[in-house]
Amino acid sequence: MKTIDEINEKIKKGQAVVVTAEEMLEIVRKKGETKAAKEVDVVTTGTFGPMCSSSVYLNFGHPAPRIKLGGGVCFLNGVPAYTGLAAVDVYLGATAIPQNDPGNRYYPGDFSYGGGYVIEELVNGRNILLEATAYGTDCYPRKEIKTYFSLKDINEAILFNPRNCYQNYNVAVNTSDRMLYTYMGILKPNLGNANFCSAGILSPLLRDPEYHTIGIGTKIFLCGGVGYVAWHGTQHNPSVERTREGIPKRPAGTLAVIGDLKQMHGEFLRGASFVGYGVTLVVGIGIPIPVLDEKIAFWCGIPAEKMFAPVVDYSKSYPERKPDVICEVTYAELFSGSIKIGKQQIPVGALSSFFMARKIAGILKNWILSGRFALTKPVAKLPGKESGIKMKGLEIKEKIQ
Amino acid sequence: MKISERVVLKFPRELVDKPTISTLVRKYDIEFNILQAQVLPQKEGVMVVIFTGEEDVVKQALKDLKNQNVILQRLKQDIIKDEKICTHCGVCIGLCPTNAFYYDKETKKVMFDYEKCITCMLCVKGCMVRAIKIKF
Repeated sequence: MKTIDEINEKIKKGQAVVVTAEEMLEIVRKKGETKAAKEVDVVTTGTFGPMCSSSVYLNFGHPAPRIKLGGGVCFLNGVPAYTGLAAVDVYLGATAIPQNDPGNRYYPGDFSYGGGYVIEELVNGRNILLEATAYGTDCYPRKEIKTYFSLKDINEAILFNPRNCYQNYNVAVNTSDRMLYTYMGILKPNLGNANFCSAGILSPLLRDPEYHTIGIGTKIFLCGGVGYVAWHGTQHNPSVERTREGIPKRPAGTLAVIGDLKQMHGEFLRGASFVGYGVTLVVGIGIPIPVLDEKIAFWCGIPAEKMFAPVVDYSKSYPERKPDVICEVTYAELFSGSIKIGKQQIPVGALSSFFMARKIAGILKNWILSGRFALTKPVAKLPGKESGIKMKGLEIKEKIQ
Repeated sequence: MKISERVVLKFPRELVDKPTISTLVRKYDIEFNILQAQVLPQKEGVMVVIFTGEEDVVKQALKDLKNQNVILQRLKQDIIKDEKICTHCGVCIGLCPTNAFYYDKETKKVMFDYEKCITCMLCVKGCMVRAIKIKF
C-alpha cells in the first residue's frame, strides 16, 4: 500500500518509477501484480479520439464603448456561439456549423467547417473574426461589433468538455444494404466494415475500471496542457454489465474535463469532419494512475483479450435506441484488424489513434519523471456501480397529466 | 521486362463513345484492368486503368493513346496522404477494399501502399481530418 503523498515525495526526489499502461501490462504479465505494485508508482494512460461533447468558453474583454453580447447573436468565423451569459462571455461547441452550411441537404454533407475547427485555429494562434449584434442598454450602448482577435488577445479561453474519455464504446457496423454516414464514420453495407473508438489497453478508465484513483479534481494531460477532471461526464453509466475482473462490457463511465486553452497545443486538439454527420473535435487526454495497491496493478495487467466491446448495428438498433447487441468482441480482435461476425470476417477501422494515445502516455510519463507534474488526490469520487446511476432515455410525452 | 503502369486517362468528348481501350488491347499485346470509369457532365470521360505487359509495348500503347488526344497522368502522383495532417487513427484501414492502408507493427503509424490503391476514394471521404487527397 502506498499513498499519493508518498508517490509525490518520490516524484519530487526524482525516484518515482513511472511507466505507460502498455509497459505496465508487460511488467504485470512477467512479474505478477504483487511485485508490479511494489515496483511501479505511476501508470500513465492516453487517448486521442473524436469527442463531440467538447467546447470552449471565452471572455473577450470589454470594447469601448461596451457591448452586452448576452441576449444577442454572435458568430466566430461565421460559426454561431451561444451568448446567453454575461456581457462578453460566449460559449462555442465543437459541433456548431456555420449558418449557411447546407448540412445534409446535399446528402451526405461535407461539414468542412465548424466549432471544432474554430477551437483548433484558436489554439494555433490564428485570428478569428468576431461578429455580433446586441440590443443595447444604458450601461452597454454598443449594438454591433466586428473585430478580429486571437487567443493571446482575450482574457480567458477555457476548454470545457462535458463528456469525454468514454470507458469502453460500441463497435459500429451496418447490416443494411446502403452506405451509412455516422459519427462512427462511414459504414459499408452488409457488414462491409466495423469501426471502434477506444485506446484499449491505454484507455484511462479501462485501466481504473472502478474509479479508485481517477476522481473529481484529478490533474490530467489535456491537449498538451494541464487540465482537471471537473465532474463525472454526462451519460456516466457505471452500472452496466462487467467482466469478472470488473471491466465494463458496454459504454460505461465518462469524464467531464476542463483546462486552459492557452496552454494547449494544436497537435493534441484537432477539428474534424465526418461526412454526412458533422463537425467534431479530436481531443487528446492522458491520465496518471497512481499504483496505490495490488488491485490497481491487477487492473493494469488485464490484457486486451479480456476486454470486451459490444458490436452494434447502426442501421437500426442504434438510431432507434434498441438495446440489441449483435455480439461481443475483444480488444485483441479489434486491434488485430478484423473481427468475425457469424461466418463473416470483417475489416476493422479505428477512430481513436493508438499512435497518438501512446505518444500522450509517453509525454505524461516524462512530465512526471522530470518532476514537473505531481499527482493529485481526487476531492470527490466518481459515482461507481454502487451508486445505482443508470443512463436514462428521453420518453416522448405529448401531453402532461 | 514486364511492367504495370497505373494511369488516369481523360477522354475528350469526341472519344467517349469510341471503343478506345478495346481497340488498343487488340492492337498491342497488353492486359488491362479498369479500376474506375465515369463520364462527367461535360461528356468527357475519366478512367483509371492498370496496363500490364512488356515495357516497350506498354509504352508504345500509351503513346498511341496520347496521339488520339487522350490525356494521360500517372496515378501515383495524384494520391496524397498528408503526413502532417494524418493522426494515424486508422479509420481508412477498415474502409479500404484492397488493404492499401495498414498499421506499422512497431510504430502503430498508418502506412499507405500506393501499389495496392484502386482510387475508390472511400478513404478520402472517410478521413475525419481530411489527410487523404486525390487529384485527377
